[in-house]
Amino acid sequence: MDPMRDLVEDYALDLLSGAERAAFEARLATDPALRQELAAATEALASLAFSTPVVPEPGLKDRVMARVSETAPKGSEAKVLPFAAPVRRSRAPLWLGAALAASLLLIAKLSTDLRQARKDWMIARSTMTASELAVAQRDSLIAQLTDPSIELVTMAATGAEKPAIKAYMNRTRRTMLLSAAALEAPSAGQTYQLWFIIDGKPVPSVTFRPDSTGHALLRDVAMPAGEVSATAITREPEGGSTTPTMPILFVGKHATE
Amino acid sequence: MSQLYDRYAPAVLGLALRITREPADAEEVVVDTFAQVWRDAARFAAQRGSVGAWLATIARSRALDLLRARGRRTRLDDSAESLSGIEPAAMGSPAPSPMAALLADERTRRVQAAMATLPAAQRKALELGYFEGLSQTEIAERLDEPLGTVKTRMRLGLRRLRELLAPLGPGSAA
Repeated sequence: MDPMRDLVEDYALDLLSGAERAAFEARLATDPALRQELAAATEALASLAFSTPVVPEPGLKDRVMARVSETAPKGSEAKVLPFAAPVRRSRAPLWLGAALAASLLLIAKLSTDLRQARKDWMIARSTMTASELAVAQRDSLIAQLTDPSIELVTMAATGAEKPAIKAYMNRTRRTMLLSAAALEAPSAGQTYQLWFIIDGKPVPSVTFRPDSTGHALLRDVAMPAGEVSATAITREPEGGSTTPTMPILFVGKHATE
Repeated sequence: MSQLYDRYAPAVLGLALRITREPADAEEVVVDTFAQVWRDAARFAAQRGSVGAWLATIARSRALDLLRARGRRTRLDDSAESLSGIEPAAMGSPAPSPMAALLADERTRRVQAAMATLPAAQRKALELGYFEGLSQTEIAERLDEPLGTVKTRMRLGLRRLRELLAPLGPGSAA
């Protein structure tokens, strides 16, 4: 048995000493099979981590997306600790402690300066990325709306609902762009769901929630195979359904393909 | 990012809640974790392993950081030391769709079944290390066992867990 193979679990659990760790990492760099072994051990740990899933409240996603939108991708100040990253007990003499403390002060000062510089840079890059993203999204939206093969379908409310929904159907690409305004926010645990009617049967599509102003924009919604005769919207439990829950709130009939 | 959230948020929230024991803190960990994933997406491409494993590493690290920042550490009751002591539906609603719920339940069931087959001492050592962020030395002190014994238990426990979960395949961590 390969002695390094025996160290895979220890490495994943951060049980190796400095020398052992260095030797293991050196071997890891050149041994794909060992990397595969380590990946399997790491996966097992992740399974342990994810063994008690809890469905979040709907509002949490908005908080995550809001944070993401103000965060620049790539690069990071955050650290990822290895498993159990233990705080090693020091057995060093006192003078070493004093020297270490002095070094740490210097490092702290340098890292504060570095952090400030990185923060400034992140803000600058974040602003640029957000602008580029906004322009790209606008271009893509214009391209989708002006495509020659677009068919516009207005979805009328079937009941007391007032909002207006327009669906831009691209029969060539078989995608749909849907724009909704003044949509009422679904109650907690509920979502809107889009349906395509094919041969008189509803085929489930995406779920969505309007933003705080009641607006929703769905891009590149894939249309299923078959002749779509109509598009409909219902309210469903969070996550969507496979059969629509009545009543159908909005429906738009399509021209025959 | 939206799809990534839909797929992994319940797993990340469950882990964060398990470590922090505070719903508000757990939600903060979820927000921080996905923000970091977004920021470090390029780094992931250079890594090995599944997205789930990567998310787990980040979320665990964030949750333990938060615990330390709050100056407290969870201390599991004896009765709650096993996975079965945790209430998966402590917050939020049941899993989103019947199919997703079925898949998630199956995965959870398998991991819990695998954990249940581990000798209690191995399971306890792994859980103390993973969910409380204790070093092996601290675990040895907590359990009043020699350090070498604790290390062996953790190693054997993880190896056994890995063998039991191998049929789940790569990328199935969440």
